[in-house]
Amino acid sequence: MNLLSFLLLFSALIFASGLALALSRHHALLVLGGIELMLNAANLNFILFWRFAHGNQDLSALVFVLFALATTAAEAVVGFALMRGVFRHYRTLNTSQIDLQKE
Amino acid sequence: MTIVLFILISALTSLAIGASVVLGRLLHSLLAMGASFALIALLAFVLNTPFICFAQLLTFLGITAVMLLFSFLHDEAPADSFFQHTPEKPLLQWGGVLIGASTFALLAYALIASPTLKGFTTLTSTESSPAHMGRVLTQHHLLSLELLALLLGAVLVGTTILTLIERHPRA
Repeated sequence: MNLLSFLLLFSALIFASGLALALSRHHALLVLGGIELMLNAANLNFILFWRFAHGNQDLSALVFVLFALATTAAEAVVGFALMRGVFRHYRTLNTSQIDLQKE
Repeated sequence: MTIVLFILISALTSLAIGASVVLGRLLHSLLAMGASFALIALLAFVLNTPFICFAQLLTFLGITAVMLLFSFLHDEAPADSFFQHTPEKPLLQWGGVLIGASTFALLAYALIASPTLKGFTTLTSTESSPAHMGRVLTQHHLLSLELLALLLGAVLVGTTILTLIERHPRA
């Protein structure tokens, strides 16, 4: 196994861990954190392929990562605003309790 | 030397992510998550992308700081423990881990079986200094940059409106 394959495996591990975190925990903050981890894994893939591509001086991959980071920040801000609204309405950020109160 | 550094950062990041998945207290999970974000940014630095590294640090440590603030302000007892099975969803935790493990197994199989990856064996010499990134952004991706600024402006206005809306809490 070469270095790129190893680092891509590591990136896949980050993605899978983010997915597990988002699905297995009940707190909205941790669900959002899991999504951020998945986005981080995608960004890491871009950086890795840019770094290992033979003689590639094009920085488009890094520009894409930069835009993805800005979009991630925007998504997080909207998530926090929604969480604040949810907390004011339900007095909790535990997703299972919010689900119960809806019934 | 670089390979050892990669392996070390990968191992530490995996530990931090694992801790954030299984730690019982929300504060501990969030701190472990912040550490994993910082380590991923360090990996970007080792991969010779200092600009992206600092952008990641600013973005994700900012997000972690707001998460920590939320956890202090909206502290709920009891903590959302990974090992604590709630009566309404008894196997949700292990179901999520199972789905994550299956996803990793599938991705790992695809990566190991891929013949294309065998061609990429060495790190190429590249330049990605902030000055170079700035030139590329302003000369080749100016419209995208403007659209991104527009998006962030819209998000600013949208979140301000969202947080100003008053709703009556449920009894």
